[in-house]
Amino acid sequence: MKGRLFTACILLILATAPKAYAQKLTADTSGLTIGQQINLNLEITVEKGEKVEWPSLLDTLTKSVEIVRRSAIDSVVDAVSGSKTYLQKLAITSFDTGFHVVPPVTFRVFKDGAADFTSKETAPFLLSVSGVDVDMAAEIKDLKPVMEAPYTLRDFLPWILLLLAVALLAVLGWFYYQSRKKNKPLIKLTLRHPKPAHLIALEELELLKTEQLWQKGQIKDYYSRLTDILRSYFELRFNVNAAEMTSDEIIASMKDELSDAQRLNDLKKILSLADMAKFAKARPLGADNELSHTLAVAIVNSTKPAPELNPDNKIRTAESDSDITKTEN
Amino acid sequence: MIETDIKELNERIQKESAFIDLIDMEMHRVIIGQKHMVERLLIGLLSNGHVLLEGVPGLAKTLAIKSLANIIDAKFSRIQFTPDLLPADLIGTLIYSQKKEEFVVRKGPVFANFILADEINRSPAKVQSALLEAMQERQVTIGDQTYNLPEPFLVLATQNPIEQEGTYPLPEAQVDRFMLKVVIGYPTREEEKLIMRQNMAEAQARTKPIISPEQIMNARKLTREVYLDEKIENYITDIVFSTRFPAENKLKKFEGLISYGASPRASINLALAAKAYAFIKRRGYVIPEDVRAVAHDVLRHRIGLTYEAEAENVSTSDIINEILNTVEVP
Repeated sequence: MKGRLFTACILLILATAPKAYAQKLTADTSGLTIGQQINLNLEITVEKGEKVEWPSLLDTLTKSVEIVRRSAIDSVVDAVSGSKTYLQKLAITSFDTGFHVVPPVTFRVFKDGAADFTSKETAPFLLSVSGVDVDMAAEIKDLKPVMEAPYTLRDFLPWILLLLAVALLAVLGWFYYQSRKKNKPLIKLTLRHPKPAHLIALEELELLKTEQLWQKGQIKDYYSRLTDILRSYFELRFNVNAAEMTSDEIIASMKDELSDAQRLNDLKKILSLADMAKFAKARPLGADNELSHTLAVAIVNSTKPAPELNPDNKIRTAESDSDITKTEN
Repeated sequence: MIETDIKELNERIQKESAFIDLIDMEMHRVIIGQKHMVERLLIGLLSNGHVLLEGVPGLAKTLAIKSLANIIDAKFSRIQFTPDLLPADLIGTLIYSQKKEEFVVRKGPVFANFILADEINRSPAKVQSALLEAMQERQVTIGDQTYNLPEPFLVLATQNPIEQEGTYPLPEAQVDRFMLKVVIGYPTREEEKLIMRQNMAEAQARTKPIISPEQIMNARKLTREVYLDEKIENYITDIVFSTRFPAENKLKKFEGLISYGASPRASINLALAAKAYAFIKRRGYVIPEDVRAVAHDVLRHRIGLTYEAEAENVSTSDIINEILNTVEVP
């Protein structure tokens, strides 16, 4: 009977006793040499359904104890009771000799879904930091030199590039020397001058004449070709977008280029006749067709670039310039 | 020299289009400047197309159409579009007559030769569509009766480009029904001085009827006969296709800037407007100049711009200019 009563009392005490949260901050060792790193284990065990607000630790625990690194917070669940243990490892060090108090670390434990919390603190403990023992009787040694960092490719890169540049210059120099020796150009440039616009236009006008389009009744095609030749000529010669211009616009843009008023009138005459033939089914007389061709040739001839004098004071015509192979050193 | 039919047509047009100069002279008695607007009104009149005018208030839009109606001796109606306007206010409705003991038709202001739809974007979509339907069908149904609208029938709608609050912008499909969208600019300094003088004078200039609606109808027939060569047809098609597929027409830079190109209605209207322009210039055939002259007014409301275009400050006018400068003229 007495034994049963005792067991009941023990159970009652255990049931009514406040919960024992197992929060602790322990060190691998209570002492360290100056600059040495030791581990601290920060942990707390809570009941099932409770949540923990982990203390936010900065880079120091106290003025003299620094946190070097920290692990992720790990957790272990007890399969029987459902309680959960959270654990974090902190690597600490100190550079001040003496005794330093590691202060309590506070956790906040929240009941499931509740706004209020219970604060749980770890116990403070003392950390002793000892200095290095110096043998005063031993011989005094000189300071060690600065350690050399290992070499990487980046260290050699400028030298490699310099070497390559020197090698390239040497090769080019050798080629240059060889070419000078054989009296040959280093690089042979072949430039073909484009055919002058007026030559193209005159050739095409001649071709148009030989095709005898209007004589075959193809008046519209004849005037389309004639105006296209003139448009292309103006584009190449005066750099105007004549192909995308209407007759009026071409006349307006040619006002400055055709200094001779007669030639401007000729152009107006051709374009107006061409518009009639192309867009109004007009069939100009044979004489008008001939005249349009003659006027077109006259316009091209009157606007072709003047022959330029070469350094030997010889007149160089555009015809002779049309196909020149130039060698440049 | 010219084939008989076109030569004869050219001569007829030379003769029949003389009234254009008369209209022009009469219009410029009351309207100083705005030559472009007056010319576009005539194009709309001759090619049976409606015109959307966009410009700030006070640029003689109402005066222009009123004067044109007066010169042609035609009936004119001005409808101020407001948010509370109803379709019945526009086309008319059935009213019960106690005297006749039956419903009688009261025709709306749309039954006139010239309609000025002032600030068309101030009314809701149902009123806009009622007018645009009348414009398209040229007839109106009131009750169970359909009534033809008088001929000539020309609608000129105005839009104010600076005020957008409380407006109902016309949807693209409805804007497309306007043959031309004309942007009206301010007069020059000299014109402005003349406008001031004219308005301060004691005797205000007035227009007088000089031609009849029948003459306009005859001119319209003649305008349709203006010769349009296949080369010009190709030119118009090239321009319109450049708005749809810019990359295929040497305009790759516009590919991301155009959301939709001009519709086939644009091609039709470009051809019709070019014919009318040739008629105004007293020619019996269309030349590329005619197409270029009307291209901006026909295309500017038919090209949709993307957000990228707006961000890059590219306008439809820029796009049309570039297209005209890229498409080869026949």
